[in-house]
Amino acid sequence: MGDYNEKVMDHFMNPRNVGEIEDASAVGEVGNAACGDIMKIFLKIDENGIIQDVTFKTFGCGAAIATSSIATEMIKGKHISEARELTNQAIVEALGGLPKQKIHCSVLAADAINKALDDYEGIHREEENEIICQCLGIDMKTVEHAIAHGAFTMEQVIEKTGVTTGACKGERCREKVEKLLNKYCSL
Amino acid sequence: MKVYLDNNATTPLLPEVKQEIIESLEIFGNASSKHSFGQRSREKVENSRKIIADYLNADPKEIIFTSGASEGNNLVLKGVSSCGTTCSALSCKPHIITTVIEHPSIANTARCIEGLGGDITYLKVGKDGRIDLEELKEKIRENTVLISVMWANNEIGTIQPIKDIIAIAKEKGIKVHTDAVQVFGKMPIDVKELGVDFLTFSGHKFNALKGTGGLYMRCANHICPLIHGGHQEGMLRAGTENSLGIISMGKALEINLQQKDSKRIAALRDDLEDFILKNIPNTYVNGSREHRLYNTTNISFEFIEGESLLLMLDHFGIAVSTGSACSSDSLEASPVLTALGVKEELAHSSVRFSLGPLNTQEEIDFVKEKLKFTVERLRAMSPLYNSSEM
Repeated sequence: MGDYNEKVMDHFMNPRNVGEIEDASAVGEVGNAACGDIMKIFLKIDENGIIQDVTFKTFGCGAAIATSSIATEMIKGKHISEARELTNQAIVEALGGLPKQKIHCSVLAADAINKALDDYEGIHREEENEIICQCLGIDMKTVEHAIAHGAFTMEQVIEKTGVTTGACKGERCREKVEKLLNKYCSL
Repeated sequence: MKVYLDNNATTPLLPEVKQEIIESLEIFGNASSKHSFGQRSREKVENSRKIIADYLNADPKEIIFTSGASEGNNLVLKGVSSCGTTCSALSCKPHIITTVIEHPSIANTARCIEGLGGDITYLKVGKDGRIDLEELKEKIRENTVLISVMWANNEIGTIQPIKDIIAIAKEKGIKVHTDAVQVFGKMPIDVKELGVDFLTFSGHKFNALKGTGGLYMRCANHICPLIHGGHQEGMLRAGTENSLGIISMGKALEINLQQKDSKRIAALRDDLEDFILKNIPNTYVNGSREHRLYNTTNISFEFIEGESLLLMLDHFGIAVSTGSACSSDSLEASPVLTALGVKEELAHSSVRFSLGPLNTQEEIDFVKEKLKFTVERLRAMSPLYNSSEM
């Protein structure tokens, strides 16, 4: 598969830390099957807040499996506060790059770890789904979905979702969309 | 071992075709030139046209060479809607009936025509991937100028009731086009018996070169060309003929290995499919198994995602595809599978195996072994598999 570099292929063909931890301290799951990706992270954390063991189970493409694998390596033996700081950019860099349309997999991997840490710390977050475009009522999930499915520039996001085409001509939403584009695509 | 099971995407050149191409490299004359150099090319081009016409039971005049089926499909749809005998896209609204499971070269051309003011009806398909003839009858209007239905689908291999479609159209005097890319060279085709008006084909799907294909157009029809210019191809397709490509098609069709080998290919496909359904639990065939190309099977492997299966099989030297190669960059589930009503998660889990005359039983046995191992390996990684343990 020409799109993936050797490191990605290595993590895909020989994934590290696959499986479940029966007496896990925390579990985090993100994604859904209809979108084609689900990631589940299992953490074993000791009394000092050190991640003693971490495993994953993933339903998804080659990049989804490779990002899960390397993300578990990156947080194993680390303190939970360090694990919190793992960004999707760091995951992509550690893999030596991903095709643009697969960057969303790295976001999912970072999200899955954060969700597992939330579970450990007893934090229950409301689903974040802010309305991005007030004029047309377009929410963040819609914009994220468009970016994950190939809208990598402002023009493409506008074409796919209609953001910035409301009455305020993007005065209120352009910056928020740029932020989301940066999160997913600025690599 | 290298095993190529992606013959609906493209096919390898047969050794005899390769040899013919190498020998023909010397023939460089422009087929339109009157001197002996040109006439040598002309002879070769016309020889291929005759072979193709004979295969179709058509007149050689009715064969128009194009750069492939995408061009052929554009030519028919745009040509008919811009200057069909009674109407033009500008002066009135032509209506075209097609289906929701067409190749992008039909689907996107239809969208373009809609943008120009034409009306398009997209027929639904059932779980078996076939259109409903009653729906077709209902959707015919006064201004319907064309019915375009693919004969066999590239992703699932489902064969449409093309004879019945033509019978319905003829009763109303409506012209019929079929994108026959996946049928051409695989089964016998008799255009006279069929009564079809337009039929498109592509060289590289039957062991000839890429960048070459053609259109059968019944003599009585007239359409506007896409490419204006010289007088080539009866003024319907300007540009110096791709003589090498055309020669390769003639040779490939002369050998006609796919069709001659169809029983053996069908047996290999059935063997692979039976193995999967019997030995790998939670696997489902998509589309009709009865009305289907003998070389194709499209199977969903529940709990795993198609790309990861493709990737791991590729590592073992086995080439398959997820959905259509044209859509492998898009992350959306296959529109063809969703049109069948396949659940999105199962559409993401689908893999297409398309066999050809060069495949052997030994190869299929190798695929069975690697496939079972790969599916088990990926399922062991899947959070869905455990949660629904059988």
